[in-house]
Amino acid sequence: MFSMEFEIVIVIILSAITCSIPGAFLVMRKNYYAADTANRSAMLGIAIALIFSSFLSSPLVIVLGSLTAILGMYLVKKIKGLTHFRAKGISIIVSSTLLCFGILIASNISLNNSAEFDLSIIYLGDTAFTSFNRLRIAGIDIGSYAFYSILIIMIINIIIVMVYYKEFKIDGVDKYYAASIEMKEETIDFILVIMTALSVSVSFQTAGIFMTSAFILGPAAAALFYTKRLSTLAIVSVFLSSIACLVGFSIAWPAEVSISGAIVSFIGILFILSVLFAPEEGIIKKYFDYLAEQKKLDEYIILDILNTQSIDTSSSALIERLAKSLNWKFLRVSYLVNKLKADKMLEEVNGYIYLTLEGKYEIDKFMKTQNCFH
Amino acid sequence: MIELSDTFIFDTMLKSSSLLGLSAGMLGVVISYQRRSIEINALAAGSFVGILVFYLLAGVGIYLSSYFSGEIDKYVFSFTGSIFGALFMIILLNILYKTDRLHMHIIQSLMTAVMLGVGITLITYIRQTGGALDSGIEIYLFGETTSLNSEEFDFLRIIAVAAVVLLLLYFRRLKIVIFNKDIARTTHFHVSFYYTLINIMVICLVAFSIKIMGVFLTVAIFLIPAVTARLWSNRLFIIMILAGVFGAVSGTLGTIVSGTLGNMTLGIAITLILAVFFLASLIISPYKGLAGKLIKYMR
Amino acid sequence: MIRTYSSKEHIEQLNVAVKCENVTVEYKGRPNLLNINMEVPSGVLLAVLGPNNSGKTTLLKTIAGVEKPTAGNIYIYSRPTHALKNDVAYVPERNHVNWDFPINLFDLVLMGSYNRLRRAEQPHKKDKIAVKEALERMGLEKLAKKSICDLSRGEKHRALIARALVQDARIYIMDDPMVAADEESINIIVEVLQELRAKKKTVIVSHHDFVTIPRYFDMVALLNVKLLGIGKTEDILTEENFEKTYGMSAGIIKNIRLYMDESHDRTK
Repeated sequence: MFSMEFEIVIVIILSAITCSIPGAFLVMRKNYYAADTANRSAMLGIAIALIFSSFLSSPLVIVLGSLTAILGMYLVKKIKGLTHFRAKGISIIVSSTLLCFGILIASNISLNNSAEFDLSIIYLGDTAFTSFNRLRIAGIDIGSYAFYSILIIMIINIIIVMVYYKEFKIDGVDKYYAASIEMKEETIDFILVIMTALSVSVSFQTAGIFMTSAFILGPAAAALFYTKRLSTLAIVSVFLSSIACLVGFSIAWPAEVSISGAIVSFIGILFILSVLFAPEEGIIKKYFDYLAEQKKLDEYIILDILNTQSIDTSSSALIERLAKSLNWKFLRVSYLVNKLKADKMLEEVNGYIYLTLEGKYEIDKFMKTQNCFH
Repeated sequence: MIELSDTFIFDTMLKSSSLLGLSAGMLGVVISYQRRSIEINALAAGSFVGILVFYLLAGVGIYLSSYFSGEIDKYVFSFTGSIFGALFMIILLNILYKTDRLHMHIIQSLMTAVMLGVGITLITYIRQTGGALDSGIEIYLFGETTSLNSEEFDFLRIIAVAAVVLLLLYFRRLKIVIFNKDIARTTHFHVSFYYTLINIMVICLVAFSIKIMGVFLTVAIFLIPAVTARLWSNRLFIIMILAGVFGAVSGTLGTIVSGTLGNMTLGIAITLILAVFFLASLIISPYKGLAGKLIKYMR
Repeated sequence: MIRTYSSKEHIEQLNVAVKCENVTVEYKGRPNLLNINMEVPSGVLLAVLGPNNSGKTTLLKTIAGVEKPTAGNIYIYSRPTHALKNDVAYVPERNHVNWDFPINLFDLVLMGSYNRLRRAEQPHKKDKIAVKEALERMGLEKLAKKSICDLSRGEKHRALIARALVQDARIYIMDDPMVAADEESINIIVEVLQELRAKKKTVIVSHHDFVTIPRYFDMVALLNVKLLGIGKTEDILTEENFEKTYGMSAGIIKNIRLYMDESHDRTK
């Protein structure tokens, strides 16, 4: 129907969008271990399903994969209730155990059953492979099987979000309010777990099972640096993941390297760049803000001393005295005092340094903002 | 599959996995109380990428060295690669932690997946260019039974013993440092020194354990012994010793199991044995397990 | 700035335990403390009062040497903080401590002796005796083998103070040692504070409950980013000062004055 490239791009964009929808809510809820637990536990179900069925996008794979992912989450919760340990540690134990069983079963199928695909597809993902299984209705080829299965899961995810959007929003903003109107945290957890599990077990065929957590968390985590609203967050993360897919694909396809690997690498670069350079929330912007505020604060410290303390302000002794009592270098203090003089906060009269009215106004204004109940 | 009679390789593997289990188990206790256990995942992935990058460099290096003299041992490359990869990852993570928009665990699990993506891209690239490089890079995914040669074993022996000795020597001070930074500072310990010490040990042990355990299961040998030991005791020293014992025993048993069964890689065997330990402890431990609960209930 | 030193106290001032000189501590470009100047005489119980986020914890941490000041000097017995050894025992706030940590109460209290030990040196018998004494003093001797996560709130406070007692320092700095504790714990802690004063130790405590201040403490410091006043309790606890600190017209102060007068009468 379409060219192969076009089909691959569509499939991979769909799976990225499917993953990034639950991701947006996971990041907001700080439910951080869900993605990792889900994808490692889903391995077991996928491996079991592959004993009976030999292609990756069959409904059995999706159902069993999400069931074991949910089972993994459930086990984490149960053991946490029993031992009162942190969920993070228990999730690592449960997920690596289930992962081991999954790998064992998967490697045994490849030994016994002459499956037509290499099992490393489960770990590494192979987008090109998804277009081999065609869906035919009455003998007419209407597209790849993977396309439809991912599309269905995406629609399910979107419907869930539409139905429960209000709950997600309330829960993200105010947990206590959510509890007070008898909205159980567990139900939202459960919904999110289902969404994550479904997304993982349908998109592992394109992304590779371990990289699904980058598909889930990456776009949402990067989007968090550009917006604070939940609805915009979901939209921005969908947008970012589509861009990552297009760029990753257009690099990887001609170079014949792993498509999902390239996409995930690009998501990583996007994330690191967002953390560093985001216009409002980026580390570097914040650092420069901090430096500027620190410089201001240095000036205010000196103004405040002159404002409130009765010390000898003869200009010859003042700088030395300040440098000693503030434990700063002489040059730093003299630079600051000269700068304040130039800004007309301080003035020198008959060899004594005084605060000007402007300076007094400035420091009073500053003190009002710094008081802890303002 | 290796024959049990193939004693030299088997012996090396037995010793190295039990040493790794001992030292990683003990260090894992410290790390889990620093709340950094997921960071191990990210470090393992970073060190995996480091190995691949150094494979690429080794390709160039071997090519260059053929013009000069002798050969460069590719094990040296892979080892330095894994150390540098983990180091790079720790630095990158510490930069990313500075943001206050994201919880550090999200950053850790995201960077793990991203580094795996980078690694897989590099694998496919190396495979494609092919040539002089090893085809067995996939062993790093789940560990392999015969992955260490004798020089690497010597390295591992030194590092593991050093880690155990340091942990025991500095035990009391580490205890205060991981219990409460503020108290440690007022007792005039150099907190940053101990943090650096822990980081160095973690980097070295992760670099080895991704060869034995594989990238995905490295975290298991660090964390599961610590959690299991916590089920048995409420004193840090006993927990640390127990975790070391659990790690060493499961390393030994894992090597034997994987050696006899053949189709089970070392990492999977060790993890499954650790999981069995955990489950058994959860059931029979009198302190926090089901048995203890039952006894309390009966009374 | 209110300073109330009478001439007699002026002599005591020579024996200054803690001296802060223009101390500023900033966090992310905002001052947590701004130009704090104060002198705490030796052998005094000082309460630091202020609303939330007013920098109480920061002040205590800075004096204890946990945080470095952005500007200014701190002298402990006229020596700068980085040069001191075993002069300050610090009791952190209860919820800044990881109570899931797997040690029992005895080990926690024994930590107080670690700064006297070299690297692999085992604790001596006299350290263990000191621990036992401290536990007895705090009324915790029966719980010595208990894991610290099983302690109640008041017991946790007492455990942290017992650790500081074992350290046997000259200055004790305690961050909110009585918040949300039970009656018994508060009584024991107050008794211990009095004993420390009798031993000529200096104790600096941040405190929430300003109704009980007059009974327990000699001196009060009012803090709201800046130091608004330091001095004898009855001189500082005035309506005007409270309005400055807490930003409310404190009719409540009248009640406190009444309460103070009553307790004053009772003691007479």
